Amino acid sequence: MTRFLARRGLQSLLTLFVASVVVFGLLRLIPGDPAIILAGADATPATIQATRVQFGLDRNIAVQYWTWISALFHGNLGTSFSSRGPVSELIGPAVMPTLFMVLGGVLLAIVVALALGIGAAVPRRRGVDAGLTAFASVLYGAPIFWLALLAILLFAVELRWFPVGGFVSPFQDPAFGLSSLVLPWAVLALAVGGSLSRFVRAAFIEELESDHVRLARAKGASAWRAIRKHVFRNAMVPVVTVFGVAFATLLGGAVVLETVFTWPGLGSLMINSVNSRDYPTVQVLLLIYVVTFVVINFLTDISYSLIDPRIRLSERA
Amino acid sequence: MSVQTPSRSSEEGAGHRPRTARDIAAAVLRQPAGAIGTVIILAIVLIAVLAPLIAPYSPTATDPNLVLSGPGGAHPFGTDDAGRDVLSRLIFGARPALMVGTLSVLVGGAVGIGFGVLAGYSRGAVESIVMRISDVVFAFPLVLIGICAVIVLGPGVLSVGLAVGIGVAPMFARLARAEVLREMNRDYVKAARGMGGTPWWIVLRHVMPNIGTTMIVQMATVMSSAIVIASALDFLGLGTQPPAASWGNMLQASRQYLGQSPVFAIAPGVVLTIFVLAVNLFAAALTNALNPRIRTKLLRARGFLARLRGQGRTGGTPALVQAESVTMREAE
Repeated sequence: MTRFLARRGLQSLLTLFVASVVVFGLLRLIPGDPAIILAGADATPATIQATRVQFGLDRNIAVQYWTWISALFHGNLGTSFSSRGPVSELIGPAVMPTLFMVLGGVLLAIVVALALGIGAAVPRRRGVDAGLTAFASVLYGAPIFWLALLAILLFAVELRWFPVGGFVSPFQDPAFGLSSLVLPWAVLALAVGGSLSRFVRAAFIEELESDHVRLARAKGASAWRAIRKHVFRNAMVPVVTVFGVAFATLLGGAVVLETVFTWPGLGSLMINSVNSRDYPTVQVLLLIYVVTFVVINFLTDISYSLIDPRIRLSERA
Repeated sequence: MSVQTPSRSSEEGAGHRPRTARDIAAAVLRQPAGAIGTVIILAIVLIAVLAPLIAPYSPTATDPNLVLSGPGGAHPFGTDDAGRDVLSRLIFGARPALMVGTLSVLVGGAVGIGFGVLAGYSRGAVESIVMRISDVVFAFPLVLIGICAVIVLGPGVLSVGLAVGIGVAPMFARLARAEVLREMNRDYVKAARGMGGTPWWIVLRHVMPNIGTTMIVQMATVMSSAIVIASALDFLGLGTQPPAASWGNMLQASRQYLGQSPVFAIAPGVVLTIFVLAVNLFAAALTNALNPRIRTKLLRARGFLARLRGQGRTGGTPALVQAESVTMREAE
């Protein structure tokens, strides 16, 4: 296990390193003098010169990368072009809304995926299965931001049950905070959970039809016991992998959803920063997303090797 | 002794390939999903090509007196926030959708298959490097790759197409590598190597034709996610720039006027969803049709129309081989 962890950990670190080089390199790829780009659109020649010295732009590219990354590690995230203040002041307040949306959305999506998938796989009734499968494939086709727009149109504009958008922390104002979370959560749970349910269904059907489950049933195990003891664990291996991938999709999807719900989170901040060419902020945000994503992948790897020892054992060979 | 498959005998001499291509097309259309998908995709391609002829108005012509008018009268789907005809913009919006979808699948397919085959063929250090890079690209959510491309290239159809292409390339690379690894162990490849075939010759002549179908299926499958993610980037304002119309940027514009003009927000999403579903249906049907066993079954089964006319009552289970006038003699 230690060896498996070390190997996967090393791979993740390598991924992070390459990703940070890419994020760093982006600004150097934009046509034009990086000093002018970094100093902002309305910078004076003196500021441009100061920026050039500050970022070491007159020096070797490797030194530049080192300056940048070590500043990040020391907690200096840079200065935003648009707010003229530290990037950390922009990012700090945006973390909580995104966490609320994504974590709640992921949990609900997993619940929906398991419920729909197992519900379609276990009873073996064609009608139920076909209905749920059709439902899932329509959800798979419809873009998530459009589903969100429809949800807003119906439940916020027409019925006025929930706010059209915006976020207030449920810790400050529980009633409004929760009602503002209902629509984003529902959309994430349905859209992501719906498309994941197809994988859950496939995994469970495969296990239900396997010989060891048939044997257990023949020996008199109840259907529930067979599922709990013999199907669940095996079926969870592919399911956990898919959930890991889905988390990433959902992180990307949340960027779009935040724009739809005018959510003051990291995603909206990213899009606004791209549009206002606030590159230092964009760079930090890209890194935050990539780090989160790599960590999730690492955890996914670990969790499915915990479920299925064969995976970590086979890596030794 | 003569064994022949009656329906094929006449065309057997006419070459193998066109026959297979026609069989595949027939097998796609024989499936309801494939027929529906193909018709919708063809319709959307036609609409995109003939957009200037079909659209009742110019997609960018504004009418300040008719802003956000509801559906009906001269504008079947109403007008948008600048008084432009929504129907005409929907019709012209098919163009960026098709362009981005095609561009990204071609870029992703070319880059991904190229590197995947390279990794699978050369093994060793090259393989590790290629697969590691592919893991890194895979670690970026597609939206983020899109954002990176827009930062460097500026917003537009081209940068979105390239970004989505790069984003989906690892899917092709992984599959291509796995397929090549499998083919490399086949006897015919070993024979070709033993006879001194150059790597290029072996890859192009022996490996590619055998992994080709898998790659085509993957392209069709990836196409629908490419269209969805491209429309999301349009929606975020990173793709097609207004006043040019795309379904994604129409949805973005409609967002502020949900109360006044719901049709403006519903129509582009419906069109987009139908298109994505059609591509999915087509991809599923194509997957079946490219599998020789399922294809044979599909082609043997009498068509839907033939059954309606009452001609389908010839046999129960479809036969794998049909033989006429087979003579057997006991061995002496």
